[in-house]
Amino acid sequence: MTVASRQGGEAEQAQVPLSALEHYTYCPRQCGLILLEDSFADDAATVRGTLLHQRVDTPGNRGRGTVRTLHALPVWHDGHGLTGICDTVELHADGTVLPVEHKSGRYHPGGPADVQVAAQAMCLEYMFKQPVTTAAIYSGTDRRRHIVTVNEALRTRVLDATNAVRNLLSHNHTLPPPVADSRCRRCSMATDCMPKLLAGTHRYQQALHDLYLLDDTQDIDE
Amino acid sequence: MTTELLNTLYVQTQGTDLRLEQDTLRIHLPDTPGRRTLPLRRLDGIVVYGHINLSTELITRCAQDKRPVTWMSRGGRYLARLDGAARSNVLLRHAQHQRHDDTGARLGIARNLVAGKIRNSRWILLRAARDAAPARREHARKAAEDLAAAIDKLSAAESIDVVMGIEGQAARNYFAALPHILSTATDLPPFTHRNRRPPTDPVNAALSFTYGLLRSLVHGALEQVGLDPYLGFLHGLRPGKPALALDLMEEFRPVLADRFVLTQFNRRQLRASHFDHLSGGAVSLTEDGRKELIGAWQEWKTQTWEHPIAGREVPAGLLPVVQARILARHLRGELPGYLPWTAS
Ligand code: SF4
Repeated sequence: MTVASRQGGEAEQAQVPLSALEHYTYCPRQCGLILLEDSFADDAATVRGTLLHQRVDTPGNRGRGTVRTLHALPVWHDGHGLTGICDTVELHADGTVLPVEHKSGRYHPGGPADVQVAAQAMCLEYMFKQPVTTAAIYSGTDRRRHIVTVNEALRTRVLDATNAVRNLLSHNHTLPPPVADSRCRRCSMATDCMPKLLAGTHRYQQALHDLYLLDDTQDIDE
Repeated sequence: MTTELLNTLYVQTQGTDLRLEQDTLRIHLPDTPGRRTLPLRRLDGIVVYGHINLSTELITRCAQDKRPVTWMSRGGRYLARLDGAARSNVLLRHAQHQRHDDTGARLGIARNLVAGKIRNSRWILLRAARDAAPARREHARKAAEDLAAAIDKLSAAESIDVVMGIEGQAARNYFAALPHILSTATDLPPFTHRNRRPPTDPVNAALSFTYGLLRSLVHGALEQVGLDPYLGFLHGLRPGKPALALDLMEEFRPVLADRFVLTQFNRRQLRASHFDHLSGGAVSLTEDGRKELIGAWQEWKTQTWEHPIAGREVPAGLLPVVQARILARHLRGELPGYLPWTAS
């Protein structure tokens, strides 16, 4: 049944992929390019990320017998319309459920990865019907875990990002403008995105105009 | 950039067998003992000419990895292309269709495409005129003036038909001047005008073959960016013809293809022995001739060109991708017009 044919019922909301929250938090346009333009550049960082994901047995927890580690666990939250896959979820003997997200790079406190892993925690809460107030990010660069507290402020960030992504997907198909700052240097979408070109529209406008002007002296003598 | 390499494998020895062996490509040449292998990850595309066998495993693997496979006829005519799980980019394609239906927008793009082509044709003539003997220089300069006038007229063109007309006249002026800047070996019959289907002299045969190489490059660039290669602005809708690929080829023809061919002849890389004269008058490249041209093309693609708008040097082989992206950004309403690449 399509959404439109339902009457009076709650219209089904577009599902938001967990990974999109991270992209959106990094740069809204990056998220737009990935979701709206199917463009996903497999740059070195993501390739390394994939390799890393293939062996995410978190160091330090193996063989203790008290922790069960689940890999590539599908998770979701019907209320918020979130869905995705957790790299690793640890089920501890005391009942604690701990999502651990693996990142090949450095950990940036308060950054996009926090939002992503907090969203995972919220999905796990929904599925296991118990509070999940702690999550972890394992950084490949320094090879250690960074604990993230899933507090109210972070939850609000998750929900705001979820709404923004849903808006991008369902109503507003225009791409968010480029941030055109230092983020672009580490961004795998930069070749598709062309932040500099878009930022310098005046120059571009001029070049469009100049297309029909010829400067012969320059052409011949340079 | 790991996604943008320039390693295309061109296979044209008839009867060659290509198979997948784990992560490598195994090449069996007929009548040649032993086999060659290539790590698949070093290849970003495979182009085969004529009767070449590819195993199903190899084809599906290429589809999976989004490594395009292009089939050309033995003589270099484009036949088909496989691009794996398509980057459908439906919003971009939708925008492409909408712009196509908008007469003003369509005219704007078509006009700029042609302006790019004429500017680049003119650039070739002026470059050649610089170091030509006086008599030849006059011919080249005269044609360059005609092209300047064409650009002027173009800026006021109010319909696609007018744009097409200006383009046709400019092409005639340009090709009429080309023989004057071409120094073929004396044992070659002269190049007098552009002809095709089939070409009847060596220069035209080489041009046709090279346009095939360029077309596959441009077609691939459009696919990569997610544009529909069959919906053109200048060439409109032409059943069975990749009109947008033909559109985007225009600005690249003079510099990437014509100049490439001129260079091969001027340097005597292409010689009379590289051509077959068929009864009836058609002329085609021999297998050796094609080999020569493909080898030179591979190198040509790595040569970098200044891209004034991207603000960096871009290898010839990637210029079509950069331009396809600029077109995509314009179609999505992010850039105020399509700006072709012009040589400088
Ligand atoms: S290149 Fe910059 S603006 Fe574009 S998506 Fe990446 S971070 Fe955002």
